[in-house]
This record gives sequence, C-alpha cells and structure tokens, in this order.
Amino acid sequence: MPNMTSVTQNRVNPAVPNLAYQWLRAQEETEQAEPQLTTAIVMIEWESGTPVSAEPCVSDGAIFRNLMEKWRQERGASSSITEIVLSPSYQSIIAMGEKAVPLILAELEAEGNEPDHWFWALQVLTGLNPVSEAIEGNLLAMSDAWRKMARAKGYVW
Amino acid sequence: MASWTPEELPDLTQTSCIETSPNSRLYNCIAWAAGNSERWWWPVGRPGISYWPKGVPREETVGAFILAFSTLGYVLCQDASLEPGIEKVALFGKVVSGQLVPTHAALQLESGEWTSKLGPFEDVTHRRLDAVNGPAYGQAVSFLARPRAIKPGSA
Repeated sequence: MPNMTSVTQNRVNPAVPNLAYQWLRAQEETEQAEPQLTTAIVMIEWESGTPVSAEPCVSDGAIFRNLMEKWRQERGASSSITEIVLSPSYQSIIAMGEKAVPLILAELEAEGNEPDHWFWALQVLTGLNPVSEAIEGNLLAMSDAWRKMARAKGYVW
Repeated sequence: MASWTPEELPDLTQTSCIETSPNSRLYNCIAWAAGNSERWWWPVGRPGISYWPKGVPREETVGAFILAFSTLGYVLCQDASLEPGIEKVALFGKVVSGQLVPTHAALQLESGEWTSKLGPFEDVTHRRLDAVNGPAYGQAVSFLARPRAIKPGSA
C-alpha cells in the first residue's frame, strides 16, 4: 500500500497537460522545429503548474517517415538505382542502423503492390540477400522474399 | 496531375505530352523501352537489387546500355528519324562528375511520337523526343533500331 505522501505526489494537476502542450508548441515556433517530429518530456513546477524545461524526444518512426518523404522528393523522376540510393535522405535512413530495419519492413508491407526501393538499405543493414537471380528487379517478388526471410530471422514489425 | 517537377523536366508540360499510365514503382524507363513493365532494369553491381540482361556488364555506361538493348535485337543507328518498319530507342545521358552516365530511354511509336516512363512516375507520350531533355535526363546521346514486329493480322 502506498503511503499518503506518495499518493499526494502522484496526483495529477489537471492544468499540467494543457500548459505543457502550449509551452512545447511555443518552443517549436521559436526554434522552427518540425512539429510532427517533436514530442518532449516537459518538467513542470508542481505547485504552480508552470513548465520550466523540456527534453525533446523524437521517435524513430517519425524520423524515418520524414526521411522517406524527403527521399522521394530528392530522387524525383530518376530511374538510376545509384541516384536513388545515394540520395542524402536514403543514406540517412541507412545511417539509422539496425533500428531502421523493422521500420523499412513495415513500410514495405504497407506499400503492398507498389513496393519501393528498400532492398539496398535492407542488404546493407542486415547483410542478407533473399533475392534470387530469377526475381531480380521484380519488386513485388523481392518484397515478398524480404518479408518472408525477415520473419524467419525473427524480425518483428 | 503530373508527378514530376518543372525543375527536373522543364519542357515536359501538359501541352508537350500526354500521360498514359498512373505512377508505378514496378518498372522504369529502361524496362519500358525494352517492352517490360514488370521489372526495374538497371546495371547494379550488387546482386538482388535490379534486373539486367545476363552477360551484359553491370556498369553505368552508355556502352553497357547499348549492349543491353542489343540482346533484344537492337543495333546502333544514326538518328531519331521515323523510318517505316523500324522501331527505335533513344538513350539519354548526362555528365556527372566529368563522366557521361546513362539516365533514360525513350521508345519511338509507329506514329513517330515517343513513349517514356518517368522513373517511378507515369508513362507519357511526347511528340518531340527532346521534351524529356533537362536536368533529370540530360539529352539523347545514342539511337538504336530494330525491325518493328509485325502485328498479327496486319499483313
């Protein structure tokens, strides 16, 4: 059973969430941050409910989606795999490391019948290649092969 | 509504082309010019990324692209002029870091118009070959030709 002191400390000041939200949006406007990317742990002065500081937390998923949108703009009408995978945002996705793998696999699944060129990144990040010569360039078959292998290897997305 | 930007393809406008398909990431311009709309053709050295005809060097040179089309019966020709009974492909290239790199292929239709697949975007028919000139694809650098297939019932 918690004692009375800890119960009191855990009681929520009902004004806090709204104050914290307003404070955070104001910070974003000042710093010209991208609102959809930024959440934060906001430190609140308990008695007054005044926000005093915040530590931004950006989710991997939000970073990934943002980079993906930029990548699609950067590559434009290019047919060149070299241009497509060397675009800065695609390289930034690769630079996210292992944590990008489930995000890419989820995106591949969501793309359904229009899979995108994630296979280079998946190869670099996992060291695997489930694509046989017979299905090279067939993005639908390649997407299926990758998701099948990833499941077999224990990836969860 | 066109997916490409005027910065990429400044001369490709609603008056210079007709969109003939929705966007598709399943095939690209090289595949389209080669008569394939199920694979992405590109000479990537790393296996498992894209299709490239067997036996053709996987290198981004105009020579390798000419060889790729030669597997389909194409040979080099002089220009993009319309010739009865002849099917032509124009290869595009641009200079990157001092080297000419292939960028695009367009296929000539019997009417003399051209059809291009624009990367992951639409297929378009354009009357003038140079409608797809610009920062994205550079300009036509080589032309290939082969006898046009006879359609069943046209003899």
